[in-house]
Amino acid sequence: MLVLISSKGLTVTDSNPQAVPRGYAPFGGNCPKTGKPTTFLLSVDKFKSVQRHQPYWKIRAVESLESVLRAPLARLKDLKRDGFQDAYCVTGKPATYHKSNTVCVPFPPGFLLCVIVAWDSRGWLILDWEQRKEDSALPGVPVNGHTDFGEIIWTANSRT
Amino acid sequence: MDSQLADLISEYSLKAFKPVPTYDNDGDFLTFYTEDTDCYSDRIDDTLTLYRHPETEAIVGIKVKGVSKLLADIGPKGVVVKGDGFQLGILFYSWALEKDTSPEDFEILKYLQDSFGTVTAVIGTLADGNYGLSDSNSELV
Repeated sequence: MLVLISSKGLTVTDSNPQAVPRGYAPFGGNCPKTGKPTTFLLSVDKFKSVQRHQPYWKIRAVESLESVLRAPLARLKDLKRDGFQDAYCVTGKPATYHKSNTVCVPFPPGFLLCVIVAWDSRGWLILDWEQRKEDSALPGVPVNGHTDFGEIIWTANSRT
Repeated sequence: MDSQLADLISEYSLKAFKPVPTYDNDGDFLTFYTEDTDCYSDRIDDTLTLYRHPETEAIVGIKVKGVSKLLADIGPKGVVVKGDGFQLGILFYSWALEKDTSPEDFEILKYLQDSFGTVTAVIGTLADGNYGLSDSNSELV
């Protein structure tokens, strides 16, 4: 059993967790497959790469990954890429958005923060996170969610 | 927030943005942002995603997925990539060759070639005859 200590107190996650692999930072969230608490892994190398070669908003969005994965708006399965049929897109709307190191605004309306995760032998890996336009007819679901992903498995709106 | 992720974030320091193609080993994709600016993802297909500015819709970066397969597919057609630098244009042509290219795709292909085609990337070693990219999240230039 893995117990995470956070500002919210003790959180019990997977009943059969794996050791945290070297070079990855673990944090809590809800399993995209089952909705139950689990642990996600963010590669430290990925973090550093984003820090140097990707936009400022994206590095600051790391601060929102946990909240999105804990309380998503929708979960979609299958990236429709070879080898990533079992990967998931978890969407959410963080409270804030850092345009620069001096400008912090509310998260842009009409957009979603989409966190791409996949399970492998190391655990639930954070593959990427990006902004996508939200489907106005399907709150929490990215535009073209039905075609870009294999299945919309859950939305907060429908509670399915 | 868990302490290790919080520690990672707390170590964050602002560094000058450097537009360089980077490869993500876990996701087998390459990203290249040309500007440090707001952007959203516009998925073209299972291989190509464009990063667009939310107000101007200008393309400010690209994401190419399935890089290993793209390089492996283009190899038999006479293009050799062996750990040395290669131009992103190779990926774009491989993308166009593997699909039923529409007129819109040709427009995208031309734009990509003109804008990013000569950007040079470097990948690591080959593995088992495949175009394996050895270094996780390696810097490609």
